[in-house]
Amino acid sequence: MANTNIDSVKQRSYDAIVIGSGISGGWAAKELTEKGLKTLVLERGRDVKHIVDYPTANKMPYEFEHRGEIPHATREANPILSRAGAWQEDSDHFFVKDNEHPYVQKKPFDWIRGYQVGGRSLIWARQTQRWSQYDFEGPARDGFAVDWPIRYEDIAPWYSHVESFAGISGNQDGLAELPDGEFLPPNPLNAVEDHFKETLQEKFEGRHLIASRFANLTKSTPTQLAQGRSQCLSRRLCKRGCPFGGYFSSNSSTLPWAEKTGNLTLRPHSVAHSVIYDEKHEKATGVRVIDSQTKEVIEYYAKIIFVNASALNTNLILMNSISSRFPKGLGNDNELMGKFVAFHNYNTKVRAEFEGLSEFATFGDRPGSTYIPRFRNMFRQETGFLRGYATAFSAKRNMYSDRSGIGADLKESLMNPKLGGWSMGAQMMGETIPKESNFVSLDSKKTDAWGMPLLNIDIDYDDNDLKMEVDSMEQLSEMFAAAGFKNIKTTQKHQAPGIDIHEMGGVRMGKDPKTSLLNKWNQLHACKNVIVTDGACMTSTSTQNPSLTYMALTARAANHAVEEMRKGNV
Amino acid sequence: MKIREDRTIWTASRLMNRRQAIKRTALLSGGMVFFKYSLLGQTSNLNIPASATFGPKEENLLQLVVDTLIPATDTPGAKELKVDQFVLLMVNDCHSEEDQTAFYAGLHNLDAFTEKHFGQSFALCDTDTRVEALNSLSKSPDTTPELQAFFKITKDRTIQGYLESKYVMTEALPHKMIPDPYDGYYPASKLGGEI
Repeated sequence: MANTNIDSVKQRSYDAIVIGSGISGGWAAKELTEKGLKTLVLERGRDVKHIVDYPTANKMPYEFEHRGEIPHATREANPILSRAGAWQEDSDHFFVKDNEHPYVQKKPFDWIRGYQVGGRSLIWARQTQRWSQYDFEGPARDGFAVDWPIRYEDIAPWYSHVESFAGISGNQDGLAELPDGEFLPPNPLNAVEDHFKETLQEKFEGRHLIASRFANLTKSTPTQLAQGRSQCLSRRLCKRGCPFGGYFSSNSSTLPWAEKTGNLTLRPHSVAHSVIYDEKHEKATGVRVIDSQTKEVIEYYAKIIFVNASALNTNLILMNSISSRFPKGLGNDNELMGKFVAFHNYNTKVRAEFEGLSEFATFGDRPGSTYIPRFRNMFRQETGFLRGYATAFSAKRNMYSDRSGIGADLKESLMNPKLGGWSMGAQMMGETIPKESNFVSLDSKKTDAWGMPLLNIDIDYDDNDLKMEVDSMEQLSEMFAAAGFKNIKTTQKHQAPGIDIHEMGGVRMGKDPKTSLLNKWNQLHACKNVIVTDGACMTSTSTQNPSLTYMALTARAANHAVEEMRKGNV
Repeated sequence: MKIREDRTIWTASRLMNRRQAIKRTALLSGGMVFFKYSLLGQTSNLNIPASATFGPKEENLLQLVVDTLIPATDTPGAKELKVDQFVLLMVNDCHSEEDQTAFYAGLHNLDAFTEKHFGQSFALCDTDTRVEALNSLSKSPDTTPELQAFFKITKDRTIQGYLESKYVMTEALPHKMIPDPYDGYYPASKLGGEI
């Protein structure tokens, strides 16, 4: 019997375990398996195989019973998910329903989740801007959170590493606030976007409009062809999963790549319960898992453990990893775990119309749009609020048909759509300041269907956010007016945090174990063979869409962890 | 001119050139295509609310309304494309209870409206009178809120069901799953007139 036990433990032992298969977990799997580590990837949801598990990918609009709309009763049953614009009939199967995975909203917070292999990398918005030195220096310069333990130079080569592999489109724009990278050809701008770009150049020093950097393949290179991915066809149906691998996801890219090494074991239906800590050897030895279907508890063992369960779930798992050495959660000696959570503020929009350039329209489609990097307080503090906002901008000209008639007239006008005027929209993407009062914690009583404690989420906006919202509406309106745009309309929403789907922090990086949880290599200060590289590790949020930074941090941390393992340090 | 801006169905990218479309339709239609494109297979899946009265008479009336909105010409109209079934499906599945109640009540108010203003039930009116009735309905102060709601929901969903029918999306105004390469300086003059 003893031998059977030893065999069983052996069968459940790996070099590395990665909790989570989303955008950062997929990168951990790729890097670790490439370096020869036998790696187990745990995913709480079902398997989603590239192409074969994209059931709606090639459906025409009329093939959806409700033409894409989610039925009323389903919306009513899912008030949180209903606020996610990407949740439609064609992508329904990639979103967690409210009642399946409850959490406690101490304050309103829309937590949008994708529990399946690939996680939210299947349904993300695919914008991939680098951070600059000014972003990493932000907390130290402006005196909030703690100083990042790394600088731009530390991560720059890893940005290049992940950009080359994932395939990121963009221009070399030469902006200090948004560094250039390894880019495929950019998405083209249209006549009005170019006009707005020129207006900013002429009249607004330090404000620039560029083609957004996007994780869609504007060209296939040998690197992506080797992954079985081909050029993006601009179908704009990414959230269904792309049968061409036209955009980057774990499913299309990192996971199949890891699988090819022969070193990957993927275990879906595996709810990570906790990281197992060995008090005698003062290190983590594995992960306790609940099989989501059988509810059986199984332990898996490894030398290093990557926690990439998505920002808030990573907090949950680590806080649930209790031992007598770590009664408040693994690595949580300073009791700061779960605190200083932040997000992005998407509360304002500015829309307008333009009568000029009417000789031009747009034709065809593209997978991207345009971007105005942060210009407020960029190189020095100059407003009454801290930090600033980036802006997504796009201009378009739609076809409309007159719908006022009835009968043959109506039919005739529907069959003959006419070209409308130019319309444009801008959306703020604001940095929020991490604060101790914005935090998550484990509920002491309520548990989910697998016996895991529910997460309490206690997160809100502050005065700095409100000031920034007002400024964004003023500045964008001023910029629009300078470009000759008319009928400028501002919208200030009061949406709950979370719907930006950029939740970050709680297990932040820092130099000092007294004030942070992770060191500069994303290792828990107090348990160095546990590495956190998803949104939970973020010390501050900056304004850029965060996924590219998670990818780069993950690749960097994985390579360091392997080196340390080889040196015998972990 | 009234323009609905809340639901933009068309983008230039996804529209085939109008001339091409007409050519294809002419080639393919020849008057024989109509029944090929039934919008929904059956009516048995409809979740009509228990509170609603909806029998053959109501079904016929709704068919007449969608047929009046988008009639058959040299191409199929909404009735051939079973858009009435689509309207019902959407009302039952995608609208609030409040909308549903108003829709079914409004449908029942239609005959009273035409009897008062046109001297007979909607079904007995000739085609021109039906068009006139529906036109006047949306402007008349002499209607119930339910009838107005019925008309608005039916018109919106009929237009949607027609434009997003297999027939229109494959023959009349073919929808391209793979759009043309992007051109941000496309000559506006090539897109067939401005609003």
